[in-house]
Amino acid sequence: MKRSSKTMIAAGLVFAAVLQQARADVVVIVSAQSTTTITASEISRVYLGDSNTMTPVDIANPSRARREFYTKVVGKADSQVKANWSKLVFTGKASAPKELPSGEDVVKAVAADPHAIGYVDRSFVNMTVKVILTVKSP
Amino acid sequence: MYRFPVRAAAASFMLALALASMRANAALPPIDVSGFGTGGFVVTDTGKAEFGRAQEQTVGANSEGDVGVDSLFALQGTVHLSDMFSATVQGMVRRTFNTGFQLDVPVFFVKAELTRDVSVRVGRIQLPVFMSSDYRQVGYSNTWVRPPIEVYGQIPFDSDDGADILYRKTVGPADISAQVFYGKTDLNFAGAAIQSRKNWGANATVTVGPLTLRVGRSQSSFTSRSATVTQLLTAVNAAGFTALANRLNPVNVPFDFTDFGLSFDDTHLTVQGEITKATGGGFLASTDGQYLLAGYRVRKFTPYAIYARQKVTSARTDTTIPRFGALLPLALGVDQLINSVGADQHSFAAGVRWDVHESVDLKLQVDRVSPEGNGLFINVRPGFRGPVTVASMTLDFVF
Repeated sequence: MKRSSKTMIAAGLVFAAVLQQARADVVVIVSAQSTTTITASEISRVYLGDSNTMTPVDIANPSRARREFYTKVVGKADSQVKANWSKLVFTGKASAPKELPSGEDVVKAVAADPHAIGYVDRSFVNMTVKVILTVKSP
Repeated sequence: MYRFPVRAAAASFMLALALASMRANAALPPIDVSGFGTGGFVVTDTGKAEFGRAQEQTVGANSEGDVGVDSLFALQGTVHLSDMFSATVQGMVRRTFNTGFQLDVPVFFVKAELTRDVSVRVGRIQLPVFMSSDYRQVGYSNTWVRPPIEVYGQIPFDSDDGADILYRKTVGPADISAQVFYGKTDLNFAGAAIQSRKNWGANATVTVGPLTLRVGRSQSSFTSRSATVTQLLTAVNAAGFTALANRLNPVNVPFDFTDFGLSFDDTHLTVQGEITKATGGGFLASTDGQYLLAGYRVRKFTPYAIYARQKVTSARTDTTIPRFGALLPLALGVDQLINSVGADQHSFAAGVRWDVHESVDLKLQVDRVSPEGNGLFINVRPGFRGPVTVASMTLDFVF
């Protein structure tokens, strides 16, 4: 009995590892032309509206990439993020990030603007953009 | 109502909406439409005075309950005319100087983004005197039900017609923003007209990690026209106290305001506080204000507590006119005038914010308000005495 439960745990771990491989990492991208040296902390502040060094682009909900990015890079609850942007939007000081329907659209938008920043599943990345941060899958 | 005529406001608002509805047409510049609102109910334990959100409300809540103190609805449209230029208009329905709800336009400006860091706005902006001035009406962006009246009631207007320059910059771990503004404000309500001229001021904000510090300074020239005051000062003058009548003449009275703000906001802990100093000349009282809010976020619930205080630092009585005989009513009238703005009052509040859904929150707050005399209560009837318990429930949303 003891041995068989150990085997099952081992099998489970292998299965989990395979699953992890299948789920692509989420990556943060900028235009291939961009010369930014932005840090992870600054990326978080850009998406909270606190820093204006880059122009953030969002993927419309529901999106796994968005959930992972906000949980791991921004690290704030949805309500906090929304409350923060509302402060800027309703004074006309800044516009909330554009929401694009898919990863493909995000890559296109980011490639076209050297100030833009976005996040997508790694599978969407092509020559027009470069990866500046990898958000590891769990 | 602000100077902006209702009809013109409504017309421009309708125009913005019409433009927004034509968004599908690709030939038009891109338009963002967003909005926010609050539905609120407030009830107190006294029938002898009313509790308002600020001195700009002439009707408030008493023991019968009221929905007008906090309830409002706002719709905003921004037209992006080019990469550099945009135009923003915000229409808001709320209770201000009248008993009923009405539409006004608290924000209406054209903005030029000169660089990524510098922009200039011309039109009507929020008067940026307090830390939360810009979004004081956006319940969803705040932990509390409403800004503490002891501090946010120190200035009775919240918009400025003129221009400002905004600067934002990230330097290493610090996000910096600064603003310089100039303009004027007009308020007309039953029995009086207030003009605030040469409003100018500057503020700077620095955010490092969860910590934000803000400092702001503003000044203006204040004129109040009311038949009651004119009558009183004419009588004071006629009684031979010309110097006093001139000193209290509410024309071009200087008003200065200084504000230090601090906030700390991380995953769980949220703290915000401001220390303010209002200095008025002539009949205007000078006041000090302070508040501190502390809350602790646990998943979707944020229980919080607030302490707020306003203290009058100028003389509460004027001894120029002898207090006897026929002169007594005149002396009392003068005291009433110099106490018409500002009061001694403090309050403790406890509440909870519940983030019900993305973009929607529900708040419950109970305030224990201790006024000295009438404090900042409105429509006070004989026999009123504090402290007063105020219970509030609001539902805030943004879209």
